[in-house]
Amino acid sequence: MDQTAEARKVLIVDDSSTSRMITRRCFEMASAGPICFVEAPDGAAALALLQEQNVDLIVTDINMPKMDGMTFVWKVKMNKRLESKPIIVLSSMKNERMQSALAGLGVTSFVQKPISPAKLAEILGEPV
Amino acid sequence: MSQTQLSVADALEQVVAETFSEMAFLDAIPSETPGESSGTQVFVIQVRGDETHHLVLDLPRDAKQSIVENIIATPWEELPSNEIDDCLLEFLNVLGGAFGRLYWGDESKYKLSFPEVRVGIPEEIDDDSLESYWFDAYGQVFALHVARE
Repeated sequence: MDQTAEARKVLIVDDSSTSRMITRRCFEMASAGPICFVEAPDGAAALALLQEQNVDLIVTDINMPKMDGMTFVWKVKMNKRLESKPIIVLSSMKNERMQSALAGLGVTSFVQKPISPAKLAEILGEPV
Repeated sequence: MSQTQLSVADALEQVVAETFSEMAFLDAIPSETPGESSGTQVFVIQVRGDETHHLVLDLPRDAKQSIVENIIATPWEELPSNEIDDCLLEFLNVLGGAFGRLYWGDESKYKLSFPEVRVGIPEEIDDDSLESYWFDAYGQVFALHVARE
């Protein structure tokens, strides 16, 4: 059986290549099943990628150039084809207003950086 | 400003310890003696809440190497300069976010600028408001300079 055919595809959106690498490693350590990744450095690039590829889960930063994470999440949730995609927001900023706004948009989970395999496993244990 | 708000020094001590431990797997504690400024490359971010704080991370080369190698898990010599800079900028980004949350609290709104690499203390920072906090990570003494607008 081709394992890649069953791998869960995760889109990681972050302007920092270091942050994307850390997120990949955490997923590899926390995920029980096969997993693969596609990446984008900002919301605009991520939206373009989502027009061409299907993904199972989106992980996005908030503070990014060109299109920030809040706008990106809003555009995903306004798109009929994409609105049901689970989204995890991963940001160095954390406050109740932002979390409330993201929850209102239908974001599945919010994690303050730095992410760790333990934090991610806790989230992935839930039905995302 | 909440009644239980920490001082800048206390907030920095806590976020430096947490960020170094959780992200770079290093223990960093306040240094009793100041070190030497790198004098060249620094990493700068603005944390904007009720007021604006400029955080300037000033690391000697050995401290940069320890942080980057621990985060990326690749020998320093094999890393291009843009990856080293990206790693340290992201490190400061996380540190700045933790500072904003701790200093102003979960209920307060704050924003971060994009972190930048600069040469020396940026001209736009008022020297009179600049305070230096020194930390020690396994004998590597480094500074976080903070200026309040």
